[in-house]
Amino acid sequence: MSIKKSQISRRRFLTLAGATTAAGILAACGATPTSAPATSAPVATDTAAAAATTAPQATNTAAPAASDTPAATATAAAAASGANDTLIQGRGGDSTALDPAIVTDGESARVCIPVYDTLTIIEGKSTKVVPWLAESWTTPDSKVWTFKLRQGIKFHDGTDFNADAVVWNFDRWSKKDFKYRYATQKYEYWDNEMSQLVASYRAVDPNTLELTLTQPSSLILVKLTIFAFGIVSPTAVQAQGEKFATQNGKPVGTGRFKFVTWVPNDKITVERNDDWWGGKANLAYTEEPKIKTLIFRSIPDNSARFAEFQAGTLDIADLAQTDIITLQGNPNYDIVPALSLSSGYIAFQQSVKPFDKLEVRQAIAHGVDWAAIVKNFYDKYAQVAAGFMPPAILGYDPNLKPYAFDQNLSKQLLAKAGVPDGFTTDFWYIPVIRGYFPDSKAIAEAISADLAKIGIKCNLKTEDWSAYLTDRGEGKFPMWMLGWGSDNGDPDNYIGYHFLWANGKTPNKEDSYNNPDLQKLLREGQVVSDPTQRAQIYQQAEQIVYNDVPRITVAYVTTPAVFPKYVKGWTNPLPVFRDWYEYYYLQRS
Amino acid sequence: MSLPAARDPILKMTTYIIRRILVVIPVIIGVSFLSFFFVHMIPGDPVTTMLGVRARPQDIVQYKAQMGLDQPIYVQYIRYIEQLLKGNWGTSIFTRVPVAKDISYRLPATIEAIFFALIIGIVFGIGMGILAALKRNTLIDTGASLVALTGVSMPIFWLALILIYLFAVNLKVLPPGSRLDAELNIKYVTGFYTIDSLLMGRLDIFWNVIKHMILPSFVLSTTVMPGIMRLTRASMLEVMQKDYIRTARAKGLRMGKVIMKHTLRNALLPVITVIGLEISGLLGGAILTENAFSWTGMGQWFYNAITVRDYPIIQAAILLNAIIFIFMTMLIDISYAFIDPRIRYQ
Repeated sequence: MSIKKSQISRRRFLTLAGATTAAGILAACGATPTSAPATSAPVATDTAAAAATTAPQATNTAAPAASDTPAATATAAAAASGANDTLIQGRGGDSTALDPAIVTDGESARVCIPVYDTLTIIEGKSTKVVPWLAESWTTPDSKVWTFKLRQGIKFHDGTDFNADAVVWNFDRWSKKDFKYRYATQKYEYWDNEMSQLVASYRAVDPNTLELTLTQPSSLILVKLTIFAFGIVSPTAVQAQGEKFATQNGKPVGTGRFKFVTWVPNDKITVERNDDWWGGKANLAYTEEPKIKTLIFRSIPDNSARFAEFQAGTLDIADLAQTDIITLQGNPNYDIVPALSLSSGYIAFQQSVKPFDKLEVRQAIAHGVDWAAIVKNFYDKYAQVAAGFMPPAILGYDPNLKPYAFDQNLSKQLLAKAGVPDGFTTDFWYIPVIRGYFPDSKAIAEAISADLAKIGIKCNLKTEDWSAYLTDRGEGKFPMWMLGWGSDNGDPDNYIGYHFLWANGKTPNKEDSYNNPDLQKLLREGQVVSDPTQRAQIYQQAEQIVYNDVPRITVAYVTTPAVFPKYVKGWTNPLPVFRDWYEYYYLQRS
Repeated sequence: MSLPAARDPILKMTTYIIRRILVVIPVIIGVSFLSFFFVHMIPGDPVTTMLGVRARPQDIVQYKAQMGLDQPIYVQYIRYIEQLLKGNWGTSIFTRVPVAKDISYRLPATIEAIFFALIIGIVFGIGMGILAALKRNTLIDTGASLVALTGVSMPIFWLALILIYLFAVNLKVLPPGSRLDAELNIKYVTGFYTIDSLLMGRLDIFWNVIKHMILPSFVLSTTVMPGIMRLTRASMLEVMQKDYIRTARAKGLRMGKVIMKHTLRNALLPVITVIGLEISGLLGGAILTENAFSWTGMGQWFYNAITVRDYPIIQAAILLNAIIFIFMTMLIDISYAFIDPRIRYQ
């Protein structure tokens, strides 16, 4: 697979812009890659990808969809002059379709997000779940959830938004024999995320939705933020049928922007929805969009996209980190990091001696100069890690400090563990470049150099990436490197994903780490709905992991974005799991 | 009794053309066969690319079955040809868009770029060739050769990048890529933006289209320009030494007339052959040029398809390229029959 970044990957997209997915699906691909495959392909999840979803009758269509809309000429006057109300976003590939319930790739999701609204949303400046189409919610037992819906909202086609429309969407997602579900369509996000969780749903009254879950769970709130559960207009689907939101159809939601035109592989244009409810709802985390037109341009070639960005024909763009670095210090650009949602770690197999001894793991934690490693091998936005989870995740404990570099202490600990002269071990490093390990081999070498001083000799090893991931899962590595990037900002998807036993009964094979207290806390975290109480639970879990040293987190990392000076409205750090299109504005002199 | 056809020049010409067209059919079948098997011989397969390294084996099997990729390759080929004969080019494995739809707007984009590139290449190539021949062994001649040599040896994506940075990033006089400013929209009729913008009656859009066309078509033209130039020069020099030129000059014809009417016309014959053959160079160059300029044509399509092993698109693109090439060579062959009477009577 090429490491050229010609398209934002689904994972990177998820990290940046917001959506969530089943932890299991993405398993140990680890976190935000610095590079992405050079494909313009939708990345299907773990299920076999759906069969052809495009309407077959399109074969002889001579022209791209909607190319002769009235807007085709209306915007012409503003063109070429560098209009201040049009924001052009450059990206590596086109969307496959704009029906949120069906698409699974990042490039489709990012256009769906401004067009459709979900019931809940992630705030952005933090990973907190906040009200969106649902104004508020209550639950007596984390099993039955009652959502109060916002009133007076209309879809872009004039259809009323209400509990019936939401129930209609739930029907479409969940009922295989629903009239407006077509044989070629596959609802992967529903199947993976919700089908096991949601037992039933009903409209209590026109503005109240009730969800009953199969078991008590607090995860429903964060799952509802997934773009795939954006509410589509029932009448639009009824009118367009299978063509809904394809290249030959039209997406209709309640979102900040409404669809204008789609020129395949070239651009998708949306324009501000002046009737958008969110701008008038007086919420702290959104406002009326300032730009009038938003254009998503597909430019597969990395250097072509970078050149367009520098020429000023793109206002914001997905760029390779290596390209962003070349703009550092350039007075015409601002380079802004996002909140960190990703980290790299060293893990141990506790069924292999001497890693079963806590003192040995502690000796390694104190035997390596982590600060020096982060300084030498990472960019300036990386932080030396302490707890397992990065600061933006609920349950992060600011009181935890990185393990102090103290090799005398390490030697004492080794002596206590009964291996005063050290030992020899295989140390596996990842064969790929990732944001959380920008140069894994060099980092592994630096770690082993430090460890050699306390008597631990490491044989550095690696193998093909997919074999690496499999063997790690099978528990074949005594000491190994990997990382993680949050899919949704929820601690269950971070510390929970790593340490909660997959089968619920016995320790995970990859590390054989066994601490029943931690299991209890992590299970509780999945059920408790009160955010403050949840934060406390996960902080306790963080403390346990910090003390038991099943893994040593090396660094929290983030990917910076770059803005020309005339693009305003961004925040530092950038929001996570949310685009920021309503805040952006342009100020060209 | 001899056949009247042998005597009738028009009939003979028609027979020639028909024969020429008939030869094309087995060639296209051959190409479809080769492209199909070559494509399936590329290591890696679309299902793995698509489902990723974590895909479960049963999903891979199921998906392959869905796509018919589990069948023996000759069965796949026969199915492919069956569909092709029905006018069905298949559906992209990744975007699930019918290949024919992609072709409908990508083919005009490429033809438009190639057309302008060819014009630039011919005008400048022949012009410089004539000049170099007339000013043989002067600074102009050396200069022209130098330009040709540079054109041949400079990688096309490199030239593209240099020009983009010079004219778009630094001078900001030309756009860095794509067929039209993002804020502008065009109404699709023919898929040729120059024509469609005029059909809309919008000169501003037409001008915008032309501005977008300059850099890509110039870069693309460098694949053909040096060849045309050098051949024109050589051919001109050869013809200029012919007796009939000396005669023409001796009978007092003006130099300009001698060059345009007597020398150039005769010198152009080999040049036309080369132009026909250079079309393949243009098609190849289009892959790099279109990527560098985010031009939504066949080249970019082909390139992306190869990186993800999108078999239906790769096959369609190869086949189309072959058809275009065969068609162009055929046109050249036929044009010979008109230009050079000797061919007809062979």
